[in-house]
Amino acid sequence: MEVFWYALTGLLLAGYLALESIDFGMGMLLPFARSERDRERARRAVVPLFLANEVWLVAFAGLLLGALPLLEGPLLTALRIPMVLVLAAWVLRDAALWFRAALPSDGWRRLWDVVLPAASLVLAMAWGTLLAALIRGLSTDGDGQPVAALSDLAHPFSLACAAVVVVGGLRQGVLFAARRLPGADPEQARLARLAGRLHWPLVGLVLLAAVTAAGVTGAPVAVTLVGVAAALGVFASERLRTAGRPGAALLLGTAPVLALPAAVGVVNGTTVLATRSGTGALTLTEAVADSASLGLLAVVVLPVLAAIAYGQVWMWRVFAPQGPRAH
Amino acid sequence: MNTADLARLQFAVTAGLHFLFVALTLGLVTVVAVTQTRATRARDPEARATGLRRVRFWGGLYVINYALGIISGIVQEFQFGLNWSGLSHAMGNVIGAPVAIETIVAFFLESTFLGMWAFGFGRLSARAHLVLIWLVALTAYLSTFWIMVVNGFMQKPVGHETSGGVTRVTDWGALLTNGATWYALVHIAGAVALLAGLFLAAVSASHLRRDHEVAFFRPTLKQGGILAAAGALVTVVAGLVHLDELKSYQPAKHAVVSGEGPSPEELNAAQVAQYGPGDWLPPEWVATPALIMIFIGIVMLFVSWIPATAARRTAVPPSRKRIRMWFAMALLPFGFIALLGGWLTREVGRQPWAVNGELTVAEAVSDTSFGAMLATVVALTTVLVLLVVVDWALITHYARLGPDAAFIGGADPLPGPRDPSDPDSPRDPLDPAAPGGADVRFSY
Ligand code: HDD
Ligand code: HEM
Ligand code: HEM
Repeated sequence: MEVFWYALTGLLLAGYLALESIDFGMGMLLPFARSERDRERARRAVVPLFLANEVWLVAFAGLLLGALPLLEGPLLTALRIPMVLVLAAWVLRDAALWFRAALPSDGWRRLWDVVLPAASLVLAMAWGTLLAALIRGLSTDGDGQPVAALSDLAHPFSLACAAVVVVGGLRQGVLFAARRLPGADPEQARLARLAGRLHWPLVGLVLLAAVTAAGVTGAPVAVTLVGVAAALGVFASERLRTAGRPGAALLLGTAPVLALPAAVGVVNGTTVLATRSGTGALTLTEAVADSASLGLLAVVVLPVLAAIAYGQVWMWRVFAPQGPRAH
Repeated sequence: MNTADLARLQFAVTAGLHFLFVALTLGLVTVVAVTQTRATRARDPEARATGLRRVRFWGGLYVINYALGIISGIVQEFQFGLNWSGLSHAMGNVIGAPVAIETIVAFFLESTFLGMWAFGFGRLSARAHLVLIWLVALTAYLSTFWIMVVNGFMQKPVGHETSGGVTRVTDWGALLTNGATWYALVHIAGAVALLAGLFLAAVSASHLRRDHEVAFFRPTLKQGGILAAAGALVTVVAGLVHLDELKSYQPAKHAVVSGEGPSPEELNAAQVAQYGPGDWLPPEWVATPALIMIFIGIVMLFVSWIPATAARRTAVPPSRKRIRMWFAMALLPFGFIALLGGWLTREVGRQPWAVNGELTVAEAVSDTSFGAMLATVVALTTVLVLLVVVDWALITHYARLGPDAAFIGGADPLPGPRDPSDPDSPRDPLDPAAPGGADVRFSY
């Protein structure tokens, strides 16, 4: 039962990463758009969806407090630096999406055109770094408390994971943009070239991160398998894209960002907050809520999650339809 | 200043801003939902079009306001883990489940529905679109309920037991029927109606005093005045009942706020007997925001309907009823001041406790260095305050522009250059000749 709640919490984080990596990618692509029309079109493509995407993280934090109350405090306190960055970049990104078109002035739009890609980039990097620190295990501070020290965040493995989220997000953004456009749109050729160029670097980065992870964690085989699966996901996604199946390509393209939370679970098992020295680590049994709280959660939350899944699929149908094909 | 003061400062700023914005959200969403229902049900095409135009105007202001509700709510939520880990450590089993339910049941649904509503003009059927706004309103009130269950528990802890330093719920029924939750909910429901009424009246008056869009704003001036007066009545009655109720579970707060009852020395002596030596009283200055709130509430009861009298159809144009127009606009800030006064009373009046009688604020705060907390506070507060200023400027800008510049639901989900060949460009529901007119599925 305990593992079920831990997995459900992790699933919400994974859902957030899978969906929001598209938004990060679209944000980072903004400077590459060639005209005001393209920029506004990019913004408008994500604007109906981003609220419903980011709320997965809001739900993650809520369930963390509800199901694993003794993990929430130590986890966020340990990750203070990247979390404050995430929060600041997150609200600025939202403001940019929300406000960019609110005033018909060029200066105003240019302001948000800087904020949106910068905030999206910070978000993507911060998530990569933060998850890498969790996979590798945190440092322990003078009081024996777990903490993500600057040396954890700047560790080569963290940088590799940050690059995976950035490039993975960019590629998802490109796929999403291409899927929305009519097949005959002249922009398609440019997006296809971009996607093709991102493909091998992404596969390389994923494998590099996997190899590094094998060296720095205690579960080299398992983490390598996760990495190889993610690389295969990217490879298959590229095949599907060139075969003209953009929806399936987008789905498989989530593999690199999903590999990160998966690796946290695979490497650390039920040690929900792992440290490299073992001091200050927290196990699932220590962190989980008592059975009365979990009972209430099960009765109220589980049926609603099913309804939400339905609502979100419906929303994608209405607001992110595939553009008309060329033939 | 120590680490705990910093965390409190940050909480006060974030929570205060969050509450100012969400209170207006709660009031406006109800107004918009009712307006849209009337528009959808109207048979006369002209009444429908006018109704829809109202939905777009007030709904647009609502959506801009909503942005800051979400942005400040996000910061608010993560603050628990960042700054108040002592709270989740000691009380996690109690406050965790309601917060989790709030985020999943309320926000997950609300955000999904709000996005669909705001961008669904011209893309959904009239009925689906109407259902969406009611779902948004319902989930917004649901989220208020669950968060107030937590807040009520912190004011008056019920239905739990503590053993071995860990607190567990023994009776969820007691938590869900906690008086400290329900009195506040009724009071807040009144306050948000008052606020929405004042907002409707103020915005309407700012146009009417220039004789601008008279037919559009005259009814909303009247509705605003009536809503504000009804809200004031509920607020004042619930507030007085609540004040009296405080005697039983927070006598010190009651004494400071009302100036009645046992003297501070007696009250502190009683607490010292229970919890050991120390100063267990809230700061005396909480009496000031409390009195301001109560004073404003009573005055509103008697005057907030006055601007509505200027909405009568007479030969005199509204611009000549200058005093009442000015009055409607002058009242609005006082609604916000009373709202903040209420929260200061409630939260500061609970000092030095985070959970009344169970956990002090000093125990609740995270065990973090001063520097790290300072950096957190400076970074998040700066960003938040900047966005608040931008957002409020946008609200006033769109309120001043009037219905023709509706922020949502026009030819575009949000204004900006539009392109007929673009599949993302939705159609204007009011304009049958708009691009893509052939497959308009939206009919008002
Ligand atoms: C427009 C806003 C507004 C107005 C006009 C009033 N209030 Fe209020 N009041 C609030 C908005 C508010 C609030 C912000 O909504 C609070 C904060 C928390 C809560 O439960 O409601 C609140 C709290 C609050 C509390 C604190 C409860 C506690 O600490 O647990 C008391 C005793 C009152 N109110 C009493 C009154 C009285 C007697 C009023 C008028 C005669 C009045 N309020 C007008
Ligand atoms: C579930 C809802 C809420 C919870 C759990 C909560 C909890 C807390 C906590 C832990 C503190 C810091 C300790 C303290 O000073 O008492 C605090 C302070 C404060 N809260 Fe609340 N709060 C809630 C809602 C709100 C809201 C919505 C507002 C909005 C205006 C608000 C206004 C304040 C203020 C102004 C302070 C500062 C008081 C001080 O520094 O002495 N609170 N609250
Ligand atoms: C400490 C307490 C609180 C926390 C942690 C919190 C958290 C949040 C979060 C994360 C959101 C954004 C959700 C989204 O992404 O859609 C939000 C929105 C909202 N909150 Fe709060 N909240 C708190 C207190 C309150 C209180 C006291 C009220 C009402 C009295 C309230 C009413 C709302 C409403 C109505 C919304 C949705 C509308 C909007 O965003 O404008 N919240 N809150």
